[in-house]
Amino acid sequence: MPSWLIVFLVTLGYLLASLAIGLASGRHASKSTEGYVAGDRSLNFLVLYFIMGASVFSAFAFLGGPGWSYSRGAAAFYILAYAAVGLVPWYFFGPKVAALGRRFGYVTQAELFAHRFDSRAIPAILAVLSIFAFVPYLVIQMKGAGYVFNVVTEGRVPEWVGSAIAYGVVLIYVFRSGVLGVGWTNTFQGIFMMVLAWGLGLYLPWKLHGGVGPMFDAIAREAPDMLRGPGLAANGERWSWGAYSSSVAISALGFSVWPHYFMKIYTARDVSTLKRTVVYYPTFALFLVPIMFIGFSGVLAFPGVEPADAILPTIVTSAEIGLPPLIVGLFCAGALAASMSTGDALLHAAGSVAVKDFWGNVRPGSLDDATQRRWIRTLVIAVGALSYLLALIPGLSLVELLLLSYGPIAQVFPLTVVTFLWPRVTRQGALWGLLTGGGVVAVLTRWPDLAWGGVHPGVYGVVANTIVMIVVSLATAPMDPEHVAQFDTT
Amino acid sequence: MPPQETRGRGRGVYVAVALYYIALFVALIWPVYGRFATIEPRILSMPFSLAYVVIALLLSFVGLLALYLWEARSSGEPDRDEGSAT
Repeated sequence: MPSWLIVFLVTLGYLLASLAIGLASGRHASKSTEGYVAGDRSLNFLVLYFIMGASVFSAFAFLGGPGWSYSRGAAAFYILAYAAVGLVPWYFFGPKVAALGRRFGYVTQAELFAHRFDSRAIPAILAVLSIFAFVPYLVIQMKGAGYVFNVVTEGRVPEWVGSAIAYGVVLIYVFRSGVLGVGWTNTFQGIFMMVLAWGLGLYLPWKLHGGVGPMFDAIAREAPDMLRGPGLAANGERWSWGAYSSSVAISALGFSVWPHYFMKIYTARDVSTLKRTVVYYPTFALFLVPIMFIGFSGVLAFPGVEPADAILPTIVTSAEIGLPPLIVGLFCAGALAASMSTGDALLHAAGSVAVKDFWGNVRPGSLDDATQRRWIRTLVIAVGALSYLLALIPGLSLVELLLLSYGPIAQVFPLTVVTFLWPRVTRQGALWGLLTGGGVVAVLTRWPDLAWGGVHPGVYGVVANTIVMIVVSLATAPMDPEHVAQFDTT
Repeated sequence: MPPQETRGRGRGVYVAVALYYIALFVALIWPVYGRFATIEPRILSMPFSLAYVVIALLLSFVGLLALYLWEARSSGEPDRDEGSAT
């Protein structure tokens, strides 16, 4: 049997296992929208830990991470840096969000803000911002799946077919099982990824350089700028500290408020489960370290790989490494797991946000619970199809795409903070802050030369958003104190 | 311990933890990280620029673990906030 066929069959085996787990897990949820979107608020620590870990560490980490350490060296450390602090805010606002969700029946992020600010415009704007951010993130995952299939089958499976196979499976289990399908497949996929990342991250430097130490010795001799902060820019020049630091800042701010993560706060069985997930989260993030090693192992041994995001599958399938097809197949499955474990959560959230937050506020009361559930499922497929079409466009870097999507999402962070810390914030303040932040990000993304020092547009957006929110709130009449008091969970 | 004193001490702990994480965040960006983003000294074979960030990740874990255990010890139940949205 040719080796590429063995690889393909192992990968198919993984896909079937994911499908079986995804379909089986959904049988335990109720048939309500709350069951589909929030898993009846019943998720335990193990599942929530893997949902958060595996959803965050996606095709972007598994393929983009090595791609960045391979082509841009220390610039890739920004990913580890924001992972160190990004989820910490959850420890403090997560229990409050969960308590309010349980009390008022929220299942999405925007429902909280809609109620707090007594506004239909805010959730509708948040829904649009979210979908704009989800689509590039989904495109990343689909492109990742396509890369993997294409490289490991030596070009026999085109990228568009690879993406279609992987996301066909995802669509089936998300459509059928909702968040419980996402949760249990993420647990399976997360374990798979951790084992593979550590295995390959230690094996490849040993095989190519004699170990991690000799690998860094050789890079320090031949290309020392790769190991010194802030690393290299995309053009191979030294990256600016402004761009590095603002990438850490905007990613750390946006991390805790991505709507598809935020919604998972409502799925936790209790506050202890939520807090333990945040506490232990860095143990999952440590898996980025071997991911970096993988990229560095190719710097001197495999020069000139294009696109850089393909470095991992290129090394794994090279004759020089000589891995048996079974192991290559497992790698392929691991990379697909990385892609799918994020893509499934995004698809699930996109459908939920579009129906509950956008349509539910544009036409309130027009959909009963069963119709909502049906529409969420339909939109899961529609958003999947749109992202798939965009994934077919060549030439987009995985990490660049992710950084692009963080700008709009980070605008939710100031809103979250003031919701719990500053009762004086008003509907008008929140609304104008969001609009200003989103507008600044859009302008600076379109005309990046206007952003001083290479600083990420999202940082300017957050600053403008916060200032406008405070000024407008102080200039407008306070909201009804009795209403605001409902959200004081201290 | 009187309840008011307990609350005051609790608030102090949360302020200290918040300052700890703000300091950790500042340590991960320029100019602080800029001083430590070097190749030497090497730690566990890693360049210092990488080891420094890994240490920050571990410090983040230790900080929240300590807070979680402190909450568990001081209230008997770590999830005392549950249902507090009344």
